[in-house]
Amino acid sequence: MNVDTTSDPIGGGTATAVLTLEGIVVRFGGVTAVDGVSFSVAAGEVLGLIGPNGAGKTTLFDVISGVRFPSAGRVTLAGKDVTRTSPIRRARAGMRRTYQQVQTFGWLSVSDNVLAGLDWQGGGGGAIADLVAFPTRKRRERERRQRVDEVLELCGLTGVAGTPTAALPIGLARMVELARAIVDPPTLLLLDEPNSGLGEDEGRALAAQVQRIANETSCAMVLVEHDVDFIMSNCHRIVVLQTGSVLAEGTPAEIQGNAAVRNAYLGDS
Amino acid sequence: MTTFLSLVVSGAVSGGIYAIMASGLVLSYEASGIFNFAQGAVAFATAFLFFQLNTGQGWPIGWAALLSILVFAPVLGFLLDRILLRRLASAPVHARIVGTIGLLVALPNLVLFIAEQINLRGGDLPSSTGLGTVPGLGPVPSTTWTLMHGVVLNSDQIIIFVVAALSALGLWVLLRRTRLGLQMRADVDKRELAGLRGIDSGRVSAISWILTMLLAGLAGVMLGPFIGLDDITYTFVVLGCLAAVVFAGFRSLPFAFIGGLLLGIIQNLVAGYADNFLPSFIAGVSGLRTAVPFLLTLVGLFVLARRRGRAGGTASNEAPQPDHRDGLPKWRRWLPWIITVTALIVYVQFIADTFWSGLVLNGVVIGVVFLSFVVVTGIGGMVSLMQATFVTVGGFAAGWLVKHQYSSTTPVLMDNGHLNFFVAAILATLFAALIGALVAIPVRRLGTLAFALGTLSIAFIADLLFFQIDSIRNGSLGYLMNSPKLFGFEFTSNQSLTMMALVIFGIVTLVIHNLEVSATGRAVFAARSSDIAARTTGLSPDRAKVIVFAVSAGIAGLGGALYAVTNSPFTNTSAPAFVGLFWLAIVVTWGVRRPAGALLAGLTFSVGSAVFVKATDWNGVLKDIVGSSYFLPILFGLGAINLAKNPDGILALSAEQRADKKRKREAKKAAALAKSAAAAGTVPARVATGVRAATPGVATGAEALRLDDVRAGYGQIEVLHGIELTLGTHGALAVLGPNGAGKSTLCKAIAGQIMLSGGAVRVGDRDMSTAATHQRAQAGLLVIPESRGIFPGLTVEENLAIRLTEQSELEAAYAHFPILKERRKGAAGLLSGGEQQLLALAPALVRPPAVLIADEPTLGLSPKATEAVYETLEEVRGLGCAVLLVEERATHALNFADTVAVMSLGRITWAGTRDEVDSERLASAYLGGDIDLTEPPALEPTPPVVPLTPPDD
Repeated sequence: MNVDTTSDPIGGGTATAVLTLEGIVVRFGGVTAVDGVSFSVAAGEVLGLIGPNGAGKTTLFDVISGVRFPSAGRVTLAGKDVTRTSPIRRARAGMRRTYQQVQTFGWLSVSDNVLAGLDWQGGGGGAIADLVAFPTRKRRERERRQRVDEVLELCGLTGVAGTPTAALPIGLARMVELARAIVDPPTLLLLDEPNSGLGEDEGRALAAQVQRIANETSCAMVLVEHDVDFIMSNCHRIVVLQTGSVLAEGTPAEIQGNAAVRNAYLGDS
Repeated sequence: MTTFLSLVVSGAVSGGIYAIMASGLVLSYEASGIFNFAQGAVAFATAFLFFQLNTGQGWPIGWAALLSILVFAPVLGFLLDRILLRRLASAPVHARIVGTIGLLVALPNLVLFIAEQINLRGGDLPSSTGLGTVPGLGPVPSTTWTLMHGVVLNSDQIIIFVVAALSALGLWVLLRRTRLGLQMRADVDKRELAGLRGIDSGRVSAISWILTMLLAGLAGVMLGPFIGLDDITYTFVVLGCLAAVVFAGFRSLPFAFIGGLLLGIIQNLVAGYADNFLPSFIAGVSGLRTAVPFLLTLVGLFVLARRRGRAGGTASNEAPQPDHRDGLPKWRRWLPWIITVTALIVYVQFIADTFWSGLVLNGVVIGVVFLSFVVVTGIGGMVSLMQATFVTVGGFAAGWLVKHQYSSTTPVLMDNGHLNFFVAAILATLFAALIGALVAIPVRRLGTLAFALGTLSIAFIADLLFFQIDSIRNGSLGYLMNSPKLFGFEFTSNQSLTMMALVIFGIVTLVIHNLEVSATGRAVFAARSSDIAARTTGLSPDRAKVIVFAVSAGIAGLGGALYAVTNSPFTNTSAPAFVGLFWLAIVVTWGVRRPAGALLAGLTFSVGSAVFVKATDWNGVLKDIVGSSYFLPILFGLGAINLAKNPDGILALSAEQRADKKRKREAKKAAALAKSAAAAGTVPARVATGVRAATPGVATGAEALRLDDVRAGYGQIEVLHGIELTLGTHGALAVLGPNGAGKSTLCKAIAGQIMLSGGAVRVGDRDMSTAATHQRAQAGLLVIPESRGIFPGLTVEENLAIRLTEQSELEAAYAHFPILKERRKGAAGLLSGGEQQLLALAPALVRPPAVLIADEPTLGLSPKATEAVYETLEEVRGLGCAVLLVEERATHALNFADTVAVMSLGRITWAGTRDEVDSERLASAYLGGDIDLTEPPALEPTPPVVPLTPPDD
């Protein structure tokens, strides 16, 4: 199940990079939360993002997904500059993310949550057609539901397809978030602490999904995770952040042996 | 010049009233998060009482004012806080809005109702409440003075100036010069920290409501002589101060006060000079002066929305309300519908006379209007206070279309050279939807409250300005409509019209259902659950909101067209903005999420008042009470207050009871099952999963802090899985661990900021497991939270004074940290990070707590500042205070603490003295590796007890 962490990261060069960050700076008021971060992720690569509290991991995720615009620097998605593009446009261009605090659509059932991941494609007459339940519109929905059912099956959610997501335990809710993010096959998937709150079995199921996506699709993934074991065993490459800057970058084995990283966590001077 | 000065002076008078009202609104909004739409209702109620005491009972002004302003209004504020407002504070924003709107509807009617009932029972309360008969605080008749340039002032006006100035001064003294004021400002500045410093937020909220109501009552009594005693006028005038509230950004008291004064002056100047700069058709409209504040409010809201900009991830996420119909079979859901509609049809067709069938017809038509609330509030989660405006738009549009002569004679479409009503109604629907979209596009990004205030302002502006223009309203007589015709059939009887309305109601219900289960509906529900997740899934919440709002406007417009044809002539007063508030209250009472609620609400609205008319035939008390015109508004006002938190309203009650019963049955079954399992011994006892961390020198009686099997987390996520630790009265325990281990959660659980799901927290010998944050602080717990335990908006000295009440204590703190004395008048937020941390720690040096908890006190500090913080911690410890230090970076913490606990994924995985700490073991906790942390050598608490005098606090 584990990725062979000794091999070179897949791709790695900017030629095949799905996501490239160049000199990202984020300031809130007078505080610099992210200070000149650059890295890139290649298609099919799983990148782990770790660092002590306040290192700027979530801020960086917000910058990548467009929830927050950087004060300086450039975000490139599949060769296109998206630094100032809205999160909606980025999502439509193939970037999907999950959240540290699960953000399922609690009003909707599990299958509708996942279907919402395809809804942006529209078609069939738009909102006016919605009001009169126009057949063309309904046909599209039926087609999309087939794809939804496949993904539900894949994520082990078929049994709860009709349940409102607000009633789900955390492990299943995280799976719903993941299913919603992959139903429209993404080119870049951002997972923010996907393992937090999960039981051991659930964690294994999640890891299996991450492995499957990495092996079977060309989707690039970025993981933020506190569970070091999870990161070490699932990522090709790790970027360590400290107070807003990249402290180290390398394979899991390299990071584990890196003295600077130990210092960052332990505060040895 | 004289005109100008007169306008300014008299403007400043109404400005004084605005200033007082706006201050009150800002005060209570800041302290409780509730915007009080009922401010005018409270003002009215107080003024009414004052009038009855003074004019009615002949009390002298002083005594009447004392009882009404200083007793009645504050007591009302206190009771409302206890009964209503505190309960609302935790409700979703739209429930908070609906709650105070319910109060706005109920309170004035309740007051008038009581007066009416007293008179019916032989009382002799005066009822002449028109202009010129209502006294203010000044002498009656008022004395008049002429100032320079011929500016005239009377005693009532001067009293307003003086009282406004005095209340500004009073508020200033209270907030700046008293301990209570300091606590209130601290609470507003940073609520979580206020609790940690022993400030009771509930008490602060209650006091701010008492003050707000006092100010409302004060302004209300002074307003009387100028506007008479009419509750609607009161609400209009008081809501006018909205502009000042918005000008103050909902938070600055001085700005609210100045804004209020300016508003009064601007309003007067605009009205006075309108002829000079506005086109005559606007300048001539009588409502212009009253509309000015609402125009300014609208402008202010947009400026505010633009300035705050798009704040990522700040949209409020709303937890879904359970639908108790889940699990019911389809026929069971439809059954009540079929029965109701069949009964209605049978009644109208065969039983009812013209009077009653007319009322049913009206009820169904209003029901169509109410369906628009189901869309905008029930589905969209937005509170629109301008639905009545769309009704008027629809009615006017249909009227205008039908009125005009066309040369075409197309059958079906045309009818004697006039457009067929049904065609006109469809076009009116589209027109109203278009207007709705035009309104929604700019206001869609406003938050829920700003959206409600924005739509309210637009509704008032439309009423006061646009609908006053003769070419729009077709003169004061409005539009006359003939009976609708379709394929040669003329709908003239109430019976046929009711059928028509029912069919339309059915079609609209179907459209709503389609919308709900469509992609657009999913996008709306998605955005309500999580706006940001919807965006990052590629959905557009803005677009979905505009569509929903436009659909709701269209439905209201269609309702307006129907209303126009069944209640011809349709005028600009057929559906005033004000009645829209009452509508909202009724719909919410019945249930805003379902079309059935809209139908029942419509029928109640229409038939209800007639029942009360019929009640005149009855006898006795019931007739007096039910027959009162105030009864219905009171009923539904109170209903809205009660049901604001429940979107399914009355309709949900029976379903809820059914669901409750089912839950109880299942719980009983589960309990029985567990019992038998336990008896059979199949359930293993819970195994403690962590290690107890205990400082040396702990024995019974000498524990400063003790945690037993503490479990806590956020929502469903349990973060702490059974933490056990004991801190001796002199102990210093360092909790280390990587981020995500649950260290900050541990601090919050100890402080009471998150509730425990299991286990116990004891401070000294007191069980504090369920105590509120401020109670734990008062019991001797001082928590310095992550990211600085200071109030950034207060000055350095005020920060210290929250804990250090004596001047000598302040001096002692300054003696320790001269830098704080230098900066004592400056805002604490402007200090450097290190200075802020010293400021947070300084009170502990002067008045040591029993337990000090510091959560990453050196995060982001320079090495020098870090040294200073640790020196201070050492000193605090030297004063006999137990210290629990949470750190991610280990080095300094290891030098400071005598005992170390390592946390990982919500458990204490290792504990021991600092000499036993092995850096390899520590590293593996952070970076993973081979060392198995699940079975570490546990530390036995070393026995020798050092009983010491407990630190005073």
